[in-house]
Amino acid sequence: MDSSALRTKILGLAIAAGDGSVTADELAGANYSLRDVGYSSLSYMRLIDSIENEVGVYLDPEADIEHYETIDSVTALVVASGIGADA
Amino acid sequence: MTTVEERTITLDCARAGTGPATWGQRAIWGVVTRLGDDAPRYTLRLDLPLTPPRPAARVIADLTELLRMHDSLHTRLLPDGDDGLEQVVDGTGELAVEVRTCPAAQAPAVGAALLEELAGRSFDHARQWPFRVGFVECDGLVHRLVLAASHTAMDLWGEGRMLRDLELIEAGQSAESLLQARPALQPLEAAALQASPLGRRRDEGARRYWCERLAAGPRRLFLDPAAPELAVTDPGRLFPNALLRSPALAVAVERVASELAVSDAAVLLGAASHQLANMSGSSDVLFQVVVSNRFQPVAAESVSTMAQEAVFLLTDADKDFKDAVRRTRSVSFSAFRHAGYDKWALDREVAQLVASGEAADHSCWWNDTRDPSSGPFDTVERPRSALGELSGRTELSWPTEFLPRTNVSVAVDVLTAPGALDLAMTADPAVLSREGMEHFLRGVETLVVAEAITLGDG
Repeated sequence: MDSSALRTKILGLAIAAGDGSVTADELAGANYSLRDVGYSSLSYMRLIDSIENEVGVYLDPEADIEHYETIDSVTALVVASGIGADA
Repeated sequence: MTTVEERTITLDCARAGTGPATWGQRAIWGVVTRLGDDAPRYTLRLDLPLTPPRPAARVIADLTELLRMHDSLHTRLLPDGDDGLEQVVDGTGELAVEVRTCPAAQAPAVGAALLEELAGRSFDHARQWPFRVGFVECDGLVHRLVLAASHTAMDLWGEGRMLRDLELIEAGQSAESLLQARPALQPLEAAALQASPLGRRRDEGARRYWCERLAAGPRRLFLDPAAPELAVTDPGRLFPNALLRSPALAVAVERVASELAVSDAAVLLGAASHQLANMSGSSDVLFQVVVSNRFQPVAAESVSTMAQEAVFLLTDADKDFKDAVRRTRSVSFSAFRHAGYDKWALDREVAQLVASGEAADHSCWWNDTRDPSSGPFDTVERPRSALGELSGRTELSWPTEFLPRTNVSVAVDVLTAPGALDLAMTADPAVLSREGMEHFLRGVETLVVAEAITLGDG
């Protein structure tokens, strides 16, 4: 999976983890900032869970909390783990 | 006059199967089995007035549908060797309904007595379903529905889901339609996930996290306990229970959470950590935090026992309140990610750490029982008074005392009350006096309310 596809995947997981509280349009309007759309702690927990289940990457929320602000920063975090780097 | 009879709920062709018990089932089964005759104190109890009263046949049909919906209500647990526990989901079977008939005016009292009777007996988990039902009937109709459930069948979050589903069934929905709209994780499915490579990896990771934090945490939290001699001279000492009911805290916690961009749960746990650090003399604090483990939607819908303890270690908690709250958010995330594990295996590892003197004091407990779907101002108008004035409405009471509890020095529950937040605290008098308990509770409230006032809303 290249990083663009990975970003699309993570965007989908983030919307699903919001459980109806955030839409793709709202995220786009907030420049894909999870914080700015009021992403809840529960949603963050679901997102981290989903990334481990579906992308196979374990993200440590304690060490990398600043990387959870936007879809792009989350994607970068996953890429840094070696998944999704462009060929 | 009250008369006694029995009816029967008959389950037929429901989901059935056998598999290993879930981590949650194993954890609670271990606890209630060890408690023996004292196990009923963990039993969940419901005494529900039916308004309007309903025919018994209708209530039985609704409960049958509820059993069809949630496997945990018709599951038995059987030991399997030294380290095994098997769950057996029965697809068919009968559940006795204890019926008490009385005049309508006596229904509340008869219901309360019936609840004590049903919940006061231990469950035989190998032979019985973990669910008991009673009716109080008056003039041919059921006026009160009494339910007692073993903690092996559900935790508090599961109980909330069960009640909601029962109400939806009473309103005409079927188990099938409800599960189609909102799939609920069943215990056999959860056990299969836990036995998968991912589940085993999570179990090992969680136990590793637990042991690392225990090894890193403070060996003693209370450096100057209130009356340490009581631990020797009075082993049967009662643990006082204090209840702080605070309208101001309910308002202030939302404002502080919004300002610091954290959840209100993080504000409260951060405040408790800061206060505990300042009172105990230990800069680092460690709480066992009860976690619902219901992050995914299918888990959130589950009527089962999934809650387990996370280990929450906050270093330098005494330094700065806002910093403690901000770090509580990230530490909680990590701790909550590691709150699903095989409790029996963890207990063995913790026992080794304790025996070698390498375990932190893990006798402080935190249980935020609030359901995110219901808040203090759902049924009560939000107060318009300034926070300083609201603080004057705080009430502190001492509802009860408890028998000594193993490895508990301090236990705090957060609860939602109409128009207020409740902090309920139980403490070992050898560690903390009643004055100390009050100081802790008022201190947590003051921290949050003062911060909210500083933010500009006084």
